[in-house]
Amino acid sequence: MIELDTDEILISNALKGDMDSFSNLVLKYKNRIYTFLLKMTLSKEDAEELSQEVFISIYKNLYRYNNTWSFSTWIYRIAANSFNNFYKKRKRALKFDDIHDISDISCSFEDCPEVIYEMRENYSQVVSLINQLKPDQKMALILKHVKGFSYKEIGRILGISSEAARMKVQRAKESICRKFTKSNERSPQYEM
Amino acid sequence: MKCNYSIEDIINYAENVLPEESKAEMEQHIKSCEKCKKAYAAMVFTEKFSSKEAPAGDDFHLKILDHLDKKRYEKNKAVLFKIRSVLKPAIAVAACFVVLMTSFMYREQVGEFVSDTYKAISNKEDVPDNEDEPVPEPIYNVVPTKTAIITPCSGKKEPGEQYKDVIDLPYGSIIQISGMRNHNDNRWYLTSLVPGRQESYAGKLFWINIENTDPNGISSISFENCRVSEASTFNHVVIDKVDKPVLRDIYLYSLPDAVSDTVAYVREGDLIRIQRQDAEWSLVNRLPDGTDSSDIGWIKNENLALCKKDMKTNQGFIVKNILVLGSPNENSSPLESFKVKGQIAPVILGETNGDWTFITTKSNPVGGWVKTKDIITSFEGVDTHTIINPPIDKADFAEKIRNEIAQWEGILSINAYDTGNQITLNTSQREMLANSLTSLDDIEFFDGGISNDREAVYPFYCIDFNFGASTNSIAYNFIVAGDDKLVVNIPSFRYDHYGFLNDERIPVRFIKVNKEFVDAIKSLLPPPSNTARDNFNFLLNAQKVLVSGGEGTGPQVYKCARAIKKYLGNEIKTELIPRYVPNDAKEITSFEFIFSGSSPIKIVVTDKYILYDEKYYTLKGNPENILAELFAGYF
Repeated sequence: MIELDTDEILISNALKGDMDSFSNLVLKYKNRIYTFLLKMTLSKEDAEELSQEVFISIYKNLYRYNNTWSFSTWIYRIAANSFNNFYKKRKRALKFDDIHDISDISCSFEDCPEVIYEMRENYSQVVSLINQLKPDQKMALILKHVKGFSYKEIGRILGISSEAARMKVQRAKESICRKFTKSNERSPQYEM
Repeated sequence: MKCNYSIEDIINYAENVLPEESKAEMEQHIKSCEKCKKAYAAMVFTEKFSSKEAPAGDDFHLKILDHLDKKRYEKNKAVLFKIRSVLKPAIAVAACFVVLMTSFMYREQVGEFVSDTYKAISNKEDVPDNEDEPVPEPIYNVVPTKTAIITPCSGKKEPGEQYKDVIDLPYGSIIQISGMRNHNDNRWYLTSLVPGRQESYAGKLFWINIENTDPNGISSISFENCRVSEASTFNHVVIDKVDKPVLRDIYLYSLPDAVSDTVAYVREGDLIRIQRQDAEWSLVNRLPDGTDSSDIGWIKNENLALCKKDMKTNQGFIVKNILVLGSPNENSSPLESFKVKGQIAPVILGETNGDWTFITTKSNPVGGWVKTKDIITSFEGVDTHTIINPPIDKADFAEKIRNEIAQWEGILSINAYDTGNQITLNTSQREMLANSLTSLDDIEFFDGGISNDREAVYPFYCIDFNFGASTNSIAYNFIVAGDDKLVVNIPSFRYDHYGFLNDERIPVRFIKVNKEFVDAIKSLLPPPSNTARDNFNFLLNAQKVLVSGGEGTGPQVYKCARAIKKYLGNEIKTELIPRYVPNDAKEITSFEFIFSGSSPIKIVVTDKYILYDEKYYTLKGNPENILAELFAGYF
């Protein structure tokens, strides 16, 4: 009989030396962590490198995990810390030149049927505005769209209250809207 | 017209938290208000960007596993980790107490030291680097491997020749590699001496240029972790030419020098692997023996001989499926703790009793009995190929697939990736699908990167075994590659279930099954027609494709068609062509799909658009990557 374990059982087995269980954990969470770091760094290379660091750190510190947190919240916390350390070392804003460099998170026109055709080429501009947010606002914004994360969990990941997390997301969106509408005020009207 | 809506209203609308009436009003307003239209577009894009998922590489988890210390949570360490959270603060408190007491007792000397240190700091150029500073963590951890220095050099504080020397390393120094970092074009290892040659350097870390190390090191093997290719290199045995009444210890040294430290001892009959052989000395690996002594060291060549068949040895190997019993009796029960997980495992040989030999391992000193004839002590004449590639019982393989389909505890789904359709199978559907697999007639092995895009026939059916309740977390899958053919992508963590797979054998890649199984898949998710020319999937019907001066058929057609689809956006309407189809677009590549019974379809990919069968389409992603996608790996 095949047994597919929950996170806690996988963790418990991994702590007994079962590498297959840890491998299952990596398989389960690799895309989410990679996606999160890709959106924060806007660089496939950096995201890959950081993601590896995160999982190695998870493995090393697995014995510290207790179920006060959900496992996904815990690993995102590690990922957030890894990114913050990376960002501090960089000491400069992450450059972002071309959305197509990160084609995996590009927006195809089929993804946005509700946005009129002429607006679609501004996707790149919006991503640039997201990138210009303060790192904590950007992180809160991205985490808000991770499936199943409440403001409480986002607050835990960022080390702030749930209300503070909500405000960060709100401020981030307002900043994007304001800057985007302002930057397009002088642009010619699109033809319908 | 003046806009009475705020940015907050737009955000609430985009988040779908407005009451129905307000939503309808907002929808109308956005159509006519440029500013709100733009703000809304920004929110839609923000949501799309934030929610899109990007896949990490297929082998991402393998790279992670390669970098982990697999022994970190071994049984005998588990207790230590459990009490670590209490242990650390307890030790810290005790240490503080000791420091305080000592400082008080030697307060005059402490005062002088502080004063001297202050003077030294204020003359900074005279103060050497603090040698107790911790070495920074490497980017990549590696599976710990022991090897030796083959070019005398210095261990560095950081990875790079320009950094401070930490330790001199003469030829033969044995090191343990625990990390790796690339620096310029060189690879550097984070290492420590094994065992500590000088007490002051015991356990200290330093960096070595990989060029200075012997490349033939192996990580420690054990009963749980041993490859056939490694086991077969233990083809020498220790001999002792000195006449003696009892077996004596023969030492392994830390350097090829009899006055250097000893690191372990071996005995006549111990199986040995020669990692490096010089004129008089050899660097050897020994098998685990229940002690914690080093498993690597230098030995004089006069103490080594090739291990021939029927030579008496102190260790040996048993292969998978060999039963280890509780007593030297065929009716005795097999011991589960001795079940060989890989294809082969090292064991320590003990007493014999008729046709039986008592064996133990480092992790299982209690021991068990095996038939002496089933123990490999010399690989002379042993067919290692068969050990690595045991025969596969096709009926058993089919049964295991049926069980997997019926009993997989996560979501089992069928996806048709060419059409975007999906179905999650319920219990009765799984049962029907499992029962429809009545035979497995052929198995094909393939050692290379198989691209699913290349092999899958329309509509790219995948039986996806997902983790848990999500269809976004695929553990592995089978893919329909013909009327009776499947591509199988079985990962290493399922090898135990299938039993005959391992990571040393050429992977099973294709299986031939009864047609009814593929028909059952089609019945669960019927494929829409792809015979209309304006359907992108029509390309998959082509007999041939011309690309980059060459041509392809069959799977090559599929690979090209699917690669193009990835980059194909929306059709550009005629009135917008002047704007979105510039004259200075640069052609990247072109395709021509040839059909029987229909005229060819030509596709030109440029850096600004795709011209597909004389219609213009926008681009998704960077078209510069399209050729790399096609020709990276098997085309």
